[in-house]
Amino acid sequence: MGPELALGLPAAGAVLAAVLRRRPALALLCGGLLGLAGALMMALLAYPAAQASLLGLSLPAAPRGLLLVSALALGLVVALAPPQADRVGLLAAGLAGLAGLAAVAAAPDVLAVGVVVALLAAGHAALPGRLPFPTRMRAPGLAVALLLAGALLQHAGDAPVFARLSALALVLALVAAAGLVPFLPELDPAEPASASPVAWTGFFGPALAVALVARIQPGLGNDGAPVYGALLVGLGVLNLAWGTLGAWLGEGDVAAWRYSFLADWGLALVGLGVLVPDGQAAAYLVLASVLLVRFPLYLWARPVLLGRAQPAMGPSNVLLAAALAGAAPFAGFSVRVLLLRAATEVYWPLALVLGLGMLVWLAHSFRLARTLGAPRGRAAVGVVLALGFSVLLGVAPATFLTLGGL
Amino acid sequence: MTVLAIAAVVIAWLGGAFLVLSDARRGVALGVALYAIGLAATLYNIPPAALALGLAGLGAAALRLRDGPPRWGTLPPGSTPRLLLCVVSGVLAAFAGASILAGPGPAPVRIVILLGGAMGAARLLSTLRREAALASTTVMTLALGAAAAVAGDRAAPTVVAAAALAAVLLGVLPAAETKARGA
Amino acid sequence: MPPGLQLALPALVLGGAALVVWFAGAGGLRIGRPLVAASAWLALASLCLVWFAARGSVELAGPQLLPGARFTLRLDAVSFAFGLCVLLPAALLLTFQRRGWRESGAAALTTAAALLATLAGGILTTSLFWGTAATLLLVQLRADHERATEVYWPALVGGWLALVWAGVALDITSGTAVYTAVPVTAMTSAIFLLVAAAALLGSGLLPWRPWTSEMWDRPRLYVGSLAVAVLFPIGFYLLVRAYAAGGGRWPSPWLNATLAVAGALVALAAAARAQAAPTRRAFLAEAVPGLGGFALLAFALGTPTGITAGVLTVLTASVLAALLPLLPETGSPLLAAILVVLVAGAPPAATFGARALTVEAGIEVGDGWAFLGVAAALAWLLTFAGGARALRLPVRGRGGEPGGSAAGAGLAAGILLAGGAGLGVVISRICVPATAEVIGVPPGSIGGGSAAVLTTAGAWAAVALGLPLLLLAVVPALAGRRAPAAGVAADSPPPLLTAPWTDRPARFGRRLAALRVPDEYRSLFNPRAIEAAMGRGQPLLWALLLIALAVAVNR
Repeated sequence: MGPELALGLPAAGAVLAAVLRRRPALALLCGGLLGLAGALMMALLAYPAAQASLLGLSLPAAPRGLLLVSALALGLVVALAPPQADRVGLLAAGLAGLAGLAAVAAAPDVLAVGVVVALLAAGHAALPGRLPFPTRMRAPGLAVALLLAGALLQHAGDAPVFARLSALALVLALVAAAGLVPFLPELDPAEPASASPVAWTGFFGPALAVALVARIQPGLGNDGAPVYGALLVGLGVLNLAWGTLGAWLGEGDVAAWRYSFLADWGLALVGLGVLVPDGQAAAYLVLASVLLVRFPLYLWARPVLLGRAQPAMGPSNVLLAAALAGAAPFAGFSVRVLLLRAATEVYWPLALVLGLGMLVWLAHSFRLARTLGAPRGRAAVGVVLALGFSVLLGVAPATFLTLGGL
Repeated sequence: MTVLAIAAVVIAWLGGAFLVLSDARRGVALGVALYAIGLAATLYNIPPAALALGLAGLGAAALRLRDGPPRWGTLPPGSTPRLLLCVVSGVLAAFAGASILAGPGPAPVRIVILLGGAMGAARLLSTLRREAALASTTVMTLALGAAAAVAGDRAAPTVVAAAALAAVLLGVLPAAETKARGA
Repeated sequence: MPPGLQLALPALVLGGAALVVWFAGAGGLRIGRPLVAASAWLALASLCLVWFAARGSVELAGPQLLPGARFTLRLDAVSFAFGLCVLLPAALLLTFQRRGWRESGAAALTTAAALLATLAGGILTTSLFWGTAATLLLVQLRADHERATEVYWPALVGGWLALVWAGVALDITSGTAVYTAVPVTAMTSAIFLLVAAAALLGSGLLPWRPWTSEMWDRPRLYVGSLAVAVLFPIGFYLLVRAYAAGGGRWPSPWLNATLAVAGALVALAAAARAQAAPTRRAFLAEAVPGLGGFALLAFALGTPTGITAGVLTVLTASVLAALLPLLPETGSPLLAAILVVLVAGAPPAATFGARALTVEAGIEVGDGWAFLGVAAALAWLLTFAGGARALRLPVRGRGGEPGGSAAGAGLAAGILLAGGAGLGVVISRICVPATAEVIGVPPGSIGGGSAAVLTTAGAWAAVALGLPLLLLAVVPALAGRRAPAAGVAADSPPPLLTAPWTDRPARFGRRLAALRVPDEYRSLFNPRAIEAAMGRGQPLLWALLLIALAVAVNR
């Protein structure tokens, strides 16, 4: 019953939080407790992959690890949300998302992932927002279609062409679901954070990607693996370049933040695509840093991004700039070591390309750090915690990697 | 393919066509209903899946009648490209499902799954109407459930049930947009 | 106690002091500066104690941080020498420069990180601590003033990335990135080039104006000077360790030649900039880069004398890096003359001994290397010319705030003079053991007596050369003491060599930034239009994309 509880408890928490909306303290308490219980269930009672539950659900280690990290990120974000933010709404939406992610992680195959993504996408697109529902549904909807195509092609026959096309479809599904280039969804800077496509890139995407990869990789075969790897690496480099240049030169700080997520994802995709353990570990750490560092910082930057607070460049902002730039001793250190190592093992010119991208990365980090303004109160605590997580990821990543079975 | 199978495929295609060509609640609902019926008919040799997906599709279609623009809205002005899309999708899905793909399941199911995926995705990517987008997603979800049913994996019943439930839940979502509040 | 834990003691002292200072400061107790100063001297003392008590190398093996990156510390003659290069100037600066309690704590932590970079036993551990030190310094630099980090940060990050890449490449090739465990054949030319890039960028060893000079553009010198003091030696540390990893040599003679030429170029370029400096501060800004060029040349020679000269030069540059910002910026001509002489390198100062030994090492190797020695000598002469001109320059430019400490400058100058006088001791106790750690030192090739340097060409002592010079200087000084002092000229005296190339990098950068896609092709490169197309998600566009990819993957 482990995976079912891991899924059901956050879902129940989301429902309760939504129902008790008019009594915020109670909503936060009930939702928080159920979310915490769900996270504990994920940590303690998940089945090993070999033994699925009665419903055929199982939580492999890597997705389970990121699911826990997602739960931690949600707790951080809700507990330390800026004063004007709707914390109950954030908690309800977040718990619903977490339940969806748990379902994705526990899904027995790609088709099941598609069903959950469809529901998750529709639920997210239905949240009050500035862009119409169909616009917000496009990228994840395409991901669902591609998952269907990929799964069909997996069972289509033994010819190598089916394996290759299946790998193509599934990789593109992953990219579309995370809202990356070339399936970049439209972004309205004033869109609420919970309804924005950045939520896919920064919150849903990481656990979804790892869960999808865990389901895709075993079925690739000799014909599909090269296509899978090459596509991921190619799209990774594309997103790295697009993200770093866009964050540096693009107009608007909200767009700059979105591009910075693309850059992180670029590294993650390359790590997933090189198909060596160091690459997988690097991708895992990047995605963990997106959840625990970049996404929360983006939320705490919202007051400045929306013009409700002033940007600033104090010492804490400089430290944040260094963390966002991937400097030592922050998360970027371990990611860069592992990724450069993986790239050098596979094909050294790739390491050169990555190195150049990492250097261009510097250009936008101060711009983003400025938008955190002068953090006060809960935001200041949040910034300290985010930096702390970043340092942990940088110098003691073994904890997170063990959590993910890597 | 038997006459029943061909009829089921044609009905499913008609459903997809109504989904693509309609801009109002009745047309969209009919599209979902026809697709669900056609899909269930092709799954006749897996009765639980056929029942679950068929009933879920019909339920979602009924729920789509609650709200959205009134009447049919089928073949509005400027829908020639969409008509062409329906024809091309039908031909390509039939060709691919019958001749190119060797699995999963029998050819009629494959064709109907391809129809649902292609026409649902095409409608979702091109519409700005919420009810059409929800209906398209419902159709794709039903197609996912059908694919799981014919793939025959150990967890297929769970996936089929999940797809059916998801289809109904998608039908529950209202067609009216809600305004943003807060950041 | 785990074996080797004493190695961590100096860093722990500094780190502990930082924590105490911050907590005390937050509680209203302002003990930052004295505590941090004391901790720096204590760290220096403990480093010396641990080294001299150990009578050999000591290692501390820690946990595995990442694949190929085990936390290891190693104290041997090389890390002791470079540890001194970090701690000695840091102790001087932390004692005699004015800092608030927050800045003092940050400075102590930075020094600890830089020290650990020199004590690290492997490339990746070095990169972790080096990067950490650079990050901490960035925060301090930007907190003090926004200016003059445009070159610093990209250079340090670029160097750090190159080092990380070298480390992982070495680990893949040989199974380890620990300096003393790497097989000789693993250090290939490609990997060495990465290490060299890290060293050149990290220590500011470039023919154009490096970040170490840029630090002098800031209004206040206390943060930039610490950056130079603690980061400058680390690049050279990497080059020395590369000798150890290569079994006493670099992977290819052409690498030695290239870096030697680079060293000579750096020294010449720094001297040329120095003699064209608009202010005395700008002249002093080129002192450390100039000595850096000498050190790079010396290390690149690849001989025992060369490496010894290199270590000596880095040591000297470190003390100079502390002396220069502590100089009281007064108009006193006598004081100015003495200090310029120390900077330019006149006996008996260590700045003379280091340069002289480098030139001698170059000439000793012979062939083309001797020309490089001559080039270095030329740079030296040019520095003297610049120094003479600097006496008549305004002390600092617009916006520069006065700083300095007479006591600190006096102590640092005293160390330089004492080092020069006792050059033989410094060479025999610090430099030669470090050299012997990485390369065989044949008997009689290089050594030191109490004052004299012993080389194959013979023995010489800076003191012996210095005394006649001192007399030569004292006599006219006494004779001319009633004459009016030559003060700062109303117009700066013209430089010996004009440097039209100095603004080239800035002009190149401006030209690069002004590049635009021609109007007629702009629509092809319009990212916004491409993004809008992506966002609209037209089925035809994505269907075409899918078909194109499907064809591509099946080719």
